[in-house]
Amino acid sequence: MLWKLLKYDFRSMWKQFAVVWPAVLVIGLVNRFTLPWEVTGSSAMANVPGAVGVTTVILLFAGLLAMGVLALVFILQRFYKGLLGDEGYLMHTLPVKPWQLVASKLICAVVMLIISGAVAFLAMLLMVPVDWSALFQEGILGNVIRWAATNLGDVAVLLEIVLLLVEVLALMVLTCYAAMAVGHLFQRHRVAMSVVAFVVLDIVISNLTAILGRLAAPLEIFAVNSQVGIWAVILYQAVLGAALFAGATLVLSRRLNLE
Amino acid sequence: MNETLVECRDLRKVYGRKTALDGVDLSLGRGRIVGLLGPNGSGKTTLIKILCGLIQPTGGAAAVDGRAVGPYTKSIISYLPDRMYFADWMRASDLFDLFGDFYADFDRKRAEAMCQSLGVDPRDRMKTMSKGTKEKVQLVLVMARQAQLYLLDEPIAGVDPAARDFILHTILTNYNEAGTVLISTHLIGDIERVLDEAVFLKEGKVTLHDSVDGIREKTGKSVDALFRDVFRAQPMEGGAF
Repeated sequence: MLWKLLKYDFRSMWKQFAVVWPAVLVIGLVNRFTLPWEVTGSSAMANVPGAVGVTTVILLFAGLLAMGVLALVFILQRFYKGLLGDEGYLMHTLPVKPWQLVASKLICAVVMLIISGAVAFLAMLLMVPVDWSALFQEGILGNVIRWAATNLGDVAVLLEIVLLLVEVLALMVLTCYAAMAVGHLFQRHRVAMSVVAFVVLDIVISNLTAILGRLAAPLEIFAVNSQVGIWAVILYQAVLGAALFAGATLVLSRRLNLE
Repeated sequence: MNETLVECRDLRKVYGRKTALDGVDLSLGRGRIVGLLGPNGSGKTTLIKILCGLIQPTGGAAAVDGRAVGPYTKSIISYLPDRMYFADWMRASDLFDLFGDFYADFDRKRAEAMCQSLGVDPRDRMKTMSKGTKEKVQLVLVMARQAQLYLLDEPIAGVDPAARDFILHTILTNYNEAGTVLISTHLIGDIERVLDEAVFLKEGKVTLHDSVDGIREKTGKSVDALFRDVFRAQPMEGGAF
């Protein structure tokens, strides 16, 4: 059932970002030709008036900002409107368990954030004139991989960092979900109470993280082996995420009140 | 298979200081069309929402087909809410896909045939449809299922008499006759002719549950006339200024 839910959440995501993602990439590409890059092969662009370059740069940053705002709205709206608003009348009458509803929204939101990040990175990459053939022929890509292998230890460390980043994104989303779920427990002013809950959750999580960090710092095991440190953080974030996930699911299963 | 399809025992629901359901005891069998009748604020919607799992009771218990409300009961209940529940980006055909994916008893061909007879194009986006067309799509989704329990919350409220006939006709010609239809309304006159049983709900309590024939026999009145007697509001007398 989770796969079926994901199918519709991903469709919803695509409908919302179908314009902004390609638009940001196109604007990034346009900037490549409107900015006066001092690179061989693009000297013709030196004739482009500065005002055009400024306009396209502003457009790119406006596009990135719009994408960021849209991402935030998507995270909040798909959970609040989709599960706690009118659309909840459909979603909560489907023969699925509440945790599947939350998991589907969470997975979709994290994937959306990763794609948005990738689109922003790609737009920047497109903006700069890169000689792709030279990149591959001269083995720059190989050098990058060799650099990563030398500096990051091995691929496992790279994967650990990716896992950490995904956890950070999931925690951001889950904090929003848990806050909206707490707001739903109130009869009135649910949006305002959700905002208050978010602030409180954020303060609690920040302080807990700081305290645990201070306690862990002097421990010898973390100093000797950074791998242990990384896995400790991964575990900590997983526990925190599980707690937030359980909280949001508990409200939907035991305290749902679609009035 | 349980003979009793719906079972509520001492069901209570309190919103802050307001009591919506006050110890409801109710049993409904199979193959019946039941009117859940009461004025606005009597607890009809609350009772239906508890059976659907959209709100949690403050006390008591509700079961459908002998099971507590959960994924199984949701798979056998077809629910028509008193509001639109579509996402704007969807088309009716997307909703058919969704219902087909989640409900084994959803008959897509029947849904498409119903759309055709109602003049609805399933390829149209929901956000471009009129309110009336959206209501038709929602009705199609609900009635294209061969559900065991249909929970229809005020399906004929706020529509003109011709539309009421049309909605009732759609319900009566499409529901699973082995299942039970529970229709909440305060417009008794329009649905009395199709009801097998009536449940009167007053201030969160079941004050009457009987067959329509039984009510007529015992009181000598139609359900509509009895409803007017039971729920007649006392007009406020004007005082001297």
